[in-house]
Amino acid sequence: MRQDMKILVVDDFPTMRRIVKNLLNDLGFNNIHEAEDGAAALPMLKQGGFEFLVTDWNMPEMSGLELLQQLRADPATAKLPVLMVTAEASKQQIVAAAQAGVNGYIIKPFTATTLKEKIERIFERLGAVA
Amino acid sequence: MNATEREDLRRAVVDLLVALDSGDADSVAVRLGALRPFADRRMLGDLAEIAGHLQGGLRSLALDGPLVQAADRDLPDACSRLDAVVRTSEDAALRTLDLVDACRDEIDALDPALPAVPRLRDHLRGMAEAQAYQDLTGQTILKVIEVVRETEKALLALLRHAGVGLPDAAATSDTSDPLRGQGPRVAGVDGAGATQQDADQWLSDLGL
Repeated sequence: MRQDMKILVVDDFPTMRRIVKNLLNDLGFNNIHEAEDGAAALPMLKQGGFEFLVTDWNMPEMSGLELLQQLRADPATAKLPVLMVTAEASKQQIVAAAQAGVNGYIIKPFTATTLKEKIERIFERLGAVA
Repeated sequence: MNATEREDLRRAVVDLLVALDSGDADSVAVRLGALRPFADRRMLGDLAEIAGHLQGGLRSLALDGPLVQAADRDLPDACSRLDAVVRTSEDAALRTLDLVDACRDEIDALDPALPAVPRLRDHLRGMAEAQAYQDLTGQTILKVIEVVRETEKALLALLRHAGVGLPDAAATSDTSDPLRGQGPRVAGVDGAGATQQDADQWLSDLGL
């Protein structure tokens, strides 16, 4: 996990993309890109270079869950660390995300502290596995 | 059938009976022909009565000039208003975030040893977090807009079937998928959702 790692933030609400970007900047990350839907994000991620994805669930064209499933199905993106940040809060959904291969799950509304903790935990676990 | 028509019919029937008694085939054919207009008139009368009932029913439904107005104007209006609320609050939240960024730039130029500097950064972080309200309220409003749109479609379909001649309704959406995004939960309307602690526990149980 480097401060200049290339991160993609995906959410259909521009305010939420701004906030996540803002909080990531605050944590020292400075290479942040945005997409407004899973459908727009997928080609960007397949093109390569991204090292971390922060995504919403509920988006009009392609949901965060579908995006995650597509990424895990492609060897080029199967290992990309993915953090879901979403208002979706049923057990069924959380378990579905975990089974689809999500690395972390944050329920909105969230604090900067929670974001920091989850990101650190994701990369700690990846570091431990590697 | 009125009295005059009844008298005309009676006379035509009597003429037919006389012709039958006389055994004159041509005369019988003519008298039978003379009866046809009475049958046609009767059928038309019945049809006119049915059409009258239909129109009365349609008119009393469409009387719901209010219903037509709701489907055609008020409900679409409501959607536009709600859309405007989402856009206005989005503009306000983005403007606040712009100002937060501007403050951060100013703070970067200050002496980092000043005790106020970390406190100011904290406050700004809090302000940025607080703008997240707009994402949740925005999603809730979009969900209401969807409900209003579905109601509008159902109403249009009802009015169309009643023959009020409005445009075709589109297909309804599928709400049975438990993994379909529901948007933020509203207290008192939706059930309580999982907390971050719940999510952390379930994910931990699954090895994450």
